[in-house]
Amino acid sequence: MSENETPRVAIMRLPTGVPGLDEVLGGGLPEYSFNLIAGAPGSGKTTLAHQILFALASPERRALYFSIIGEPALKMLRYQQQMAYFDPAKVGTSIDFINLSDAILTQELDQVLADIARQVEERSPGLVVLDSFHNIGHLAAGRAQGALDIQGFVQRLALHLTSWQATTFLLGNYRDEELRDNPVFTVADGVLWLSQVADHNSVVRKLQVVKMRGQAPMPGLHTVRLDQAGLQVFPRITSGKERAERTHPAGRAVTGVPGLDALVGGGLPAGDAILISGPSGTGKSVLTAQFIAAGVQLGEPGVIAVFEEHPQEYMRRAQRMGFDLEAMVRQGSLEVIYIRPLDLSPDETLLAVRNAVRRIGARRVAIDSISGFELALAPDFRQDFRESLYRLVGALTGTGITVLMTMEIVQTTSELRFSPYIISFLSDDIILLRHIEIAGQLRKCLAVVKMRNSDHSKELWLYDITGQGVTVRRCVRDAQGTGTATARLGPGIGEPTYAGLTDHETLVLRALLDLEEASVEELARRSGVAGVELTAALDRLVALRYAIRKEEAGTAYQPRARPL
Amino acid sequence: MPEASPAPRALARYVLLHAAGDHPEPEALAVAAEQAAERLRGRLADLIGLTGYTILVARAVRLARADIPALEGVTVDTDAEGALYGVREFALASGDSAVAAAGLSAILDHIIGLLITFIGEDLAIRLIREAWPELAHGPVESEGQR
Repeated sequence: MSENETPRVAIMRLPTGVPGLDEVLGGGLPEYSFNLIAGAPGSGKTTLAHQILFALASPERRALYFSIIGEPALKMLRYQQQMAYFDPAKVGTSIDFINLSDAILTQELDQVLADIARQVEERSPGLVVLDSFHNIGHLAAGRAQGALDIQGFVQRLALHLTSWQATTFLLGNYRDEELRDNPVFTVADGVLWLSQVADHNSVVRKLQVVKMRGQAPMPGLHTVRLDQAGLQVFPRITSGKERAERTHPAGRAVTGVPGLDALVGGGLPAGDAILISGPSGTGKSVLTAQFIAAGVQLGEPGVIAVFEEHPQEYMRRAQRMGFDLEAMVRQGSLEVIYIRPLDLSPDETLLAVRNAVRRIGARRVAIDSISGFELALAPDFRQDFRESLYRLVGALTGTGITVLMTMEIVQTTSELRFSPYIISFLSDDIILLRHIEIAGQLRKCLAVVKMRNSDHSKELWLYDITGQGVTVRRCVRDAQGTGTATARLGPGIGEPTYAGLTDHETLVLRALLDLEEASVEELARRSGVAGVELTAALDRLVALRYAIRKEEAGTAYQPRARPL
Repeated sequence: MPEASPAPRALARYVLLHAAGDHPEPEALAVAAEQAAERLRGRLADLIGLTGYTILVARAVRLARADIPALEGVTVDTDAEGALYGVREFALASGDSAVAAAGLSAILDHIIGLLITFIGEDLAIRLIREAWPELAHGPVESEGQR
């Protein structure tokens, strides 16, 4: 502070005890503030007030809870004590419940105000709740002229409670149109608006900090989840700051896919958002597991968010490809998050991912798949899916994390599409997987469609999925009709075919033809086929007279085949 | 309604006899019951309002009458903030301290029992102890307060 600057009053901010709410409020609740918690019946007003009281009240900072023609106190205590935050030991020692219903029904407002003032002066509470406050307004409207009106009541109440150093919450059922011209909204320092949005079969709760004097709350509607633990607020993702400050970490994120890194300059640029797009069966999840496993092996912990199948099944499938994700989870270098409640908000997903990233210091995150993620969202959020995804990806890559997303697309013979959404703008890099018809066979090929910060291969590349994952094989040059499912390789460049062989057997035979003579280990390395699958393939190749087994100084194989 | 647990019954009897002294006559028991109801009203009216208290006591009296039909003459004046009427008449008519104590403590027993039903034993016993601070070392404690 410079010499000319006047010292400013420091406003203490109270932690509310509601997960996520302090962040939304801009750092907590200003002490001695006069607040309104508004919303429709059932939106969680009373629960929110109780949760804050039980978090903050103590014998030194007592709380007074005034009931005003709302939920009877006995019922309120009956139901609220089912909540995890409810501490019976605080009732009567730190929190007093006062019923004002009789007074409100029989007295004028100035007498009610006097009653409240007397209780406050006697007990000196640090926290005061009036539930439900809107009933006072309704009753005041029917009172005789000359009596204290609701505006005067609110102003005197605010003055009194603030002077007695109480942080106050008025609870009330208000409609949007009541925001205007209502003295409560004018007088209140803070207004918290709770709402429920029903769409199809799902209900989404939201919270908005309409105003909070003295500090800057997070704008927008924030998702709220209400369960036995109480309310949890999921601050709306704002990736603007992260995007603005985004710095790409140096280096490449090695994919672990043999042959792919060479197509993208030695690996995907670290800190990029990568979209792997392709139709069903093209190996998107395999490639994802490979990418995450490669990171873990290089000391870069990873997080996979799965939406379409249970993590155990997901990991079992990866295990069959040779990626022991379960071991990585046990070592603490991988977390597999499964989120599929079907009324999810993007902010809940981001929080779950962020928490997992923090726990293990992850440098790679995979979202498998975006299609499943969208399906898990409540319908209300699906409308803004692109924007949500933009914020989610931005928040992750903004901190230097490499994000890989998979996207299922429908492959057509007439057009090349990366995704059913216009989301390619949020991806730095796009790799397209697709089926391609070559010489009467359905093969898989990939193309690096876009790399924002790097040069890359422009060709189509054939790849196989073997027992060791995805392996990029060879370039498809001189192809006719590229971009359609009927592409054909030019003469002399197409792959030879072998009658009666399975894919694995063909791979092993090709490896054998390349090597001319090879041991089992060499064939496994070259073909990507290993274990019992390799043994079975070699047995068949020998039986079909495509290969010869030699038993001189160890087992070796030689090819006998010629292309048909 | 399920039968009141031993805890409220013992507490009700303890409260009544505590106010009436050792070996009380029926009339002293009636005065003690009225005083006990007054104390409860003082504490509960804050929490549930006088109207809430009156309704609660009316329900307790109805339940007590089902147990002890001789309480038929005991009523709750809903216009007079939950005051109990007919208590002295019941005690005198009983002519026996044990019978009077059983009837009057049944009313208190059901008030406490209703509180326990609604808000649980822990909170209910806390409220009773706030009304009778001198019972802090009394014989009855809830599970949560032991």
